Amino acid sequence: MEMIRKNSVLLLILAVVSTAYSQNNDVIRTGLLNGELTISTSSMFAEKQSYFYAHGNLEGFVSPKVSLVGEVYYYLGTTGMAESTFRYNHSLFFGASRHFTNGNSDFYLGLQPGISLTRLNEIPNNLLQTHSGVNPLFSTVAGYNFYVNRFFHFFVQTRLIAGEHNFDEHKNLSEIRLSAGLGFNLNTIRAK
Amino acid sequence: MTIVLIYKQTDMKNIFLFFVILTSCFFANQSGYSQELSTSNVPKAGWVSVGGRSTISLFDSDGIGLGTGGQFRIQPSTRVNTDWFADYISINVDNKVRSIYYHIGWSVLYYPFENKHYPKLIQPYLLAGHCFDYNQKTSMSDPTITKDRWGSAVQAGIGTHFNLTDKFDISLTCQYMIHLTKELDAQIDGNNVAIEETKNTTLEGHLLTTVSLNYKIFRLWK
Repeated sequence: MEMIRKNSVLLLILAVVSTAYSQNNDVIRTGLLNGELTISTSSMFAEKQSYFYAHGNLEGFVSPKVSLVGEVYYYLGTTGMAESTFRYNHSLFFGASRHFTNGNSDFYLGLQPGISLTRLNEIPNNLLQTHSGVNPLFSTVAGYNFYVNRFFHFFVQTRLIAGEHNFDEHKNLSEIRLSAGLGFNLNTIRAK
Repeated sequence: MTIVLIYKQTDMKNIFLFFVILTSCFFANQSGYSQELSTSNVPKAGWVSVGGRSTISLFDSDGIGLGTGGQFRIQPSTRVNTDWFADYISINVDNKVRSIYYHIGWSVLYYPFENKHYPKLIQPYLLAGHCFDYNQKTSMSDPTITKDRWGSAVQAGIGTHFNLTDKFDISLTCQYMIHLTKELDAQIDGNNVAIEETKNTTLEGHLLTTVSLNYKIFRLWK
């Protein structure tokens, strides 16, 4: 009985997805505005720690293949038992993406310069006092959107970040982040 | 596989080089797409564009640094453009001193080849210009040990736009910037840090490699 129920759910999802996919895509075009809010997880290369963030973004399509995007990550903490190296590691990015679309599927690559606002945690770093600092960042983004209809899409995104924290003690900020979830989209320009 | 490779090489320089290679591959793939599009007749003179940028600073006596900034462009003619920029660059000096630079300046871009604008993907240029720069060096462990200076600099180099649409391009620029001022010198001896200003103007500089994103927003004149 459990097996049948699982299969039914799976078939229902497939039916919805295939129905959406079979529609002619009139969503991905100039003027499309995307908004996403989700939880992002990450892995620091140097610190061997995983962090998670509240991740929000806003993206506007300036052509059917190119979009401009701004993204923000609010540091929420570490996922492990060990105390985090950072008190906080918030970041802000702005950049552009090149989209490779097929029907409702949208694969994209992007470049996003950014900045981070960081502060070290005193105890794990053996420091008496720490200071917050702003650090330049550079990131590349790869992701995939699936547009269900004119208002919603599913997304998955990975981001590779390079940067350095140079306040109180040097720390490498190089990190890979993963986000996924449900996004909102709206065509702000009427189709011709 | 690539991620594993990067994971082993945590050095920022290697990661940035990976980004540059990835970017090159990405935009090399765009040439086919760009050629397929119909020719745009959008005139080039008079356009104002804005965007963001990332810069890597190399061959600086302080070490390798990474910067973030922004710029706007005003294009006076089809063959000449101007770039007005601001950068914030942070450099780690031997894990002891933080050296930060602020650059505010401008460059003139000259396009040596005719008819290379969109829909042509690659549009090379020469550039030269001037900027004001601020440098501050601070001991990481004791922020009271700090010195700063204002100065002036000139820069020149080469670059290319990757024209993705008639209004949007990504540009890769490589330029050498010479500081026309006295430099701050961080002297590190074990855990002891001293920061001093050099007695004479040294004509030191750094090689700046910049990736910038530019979007044309409006025309000042037709």
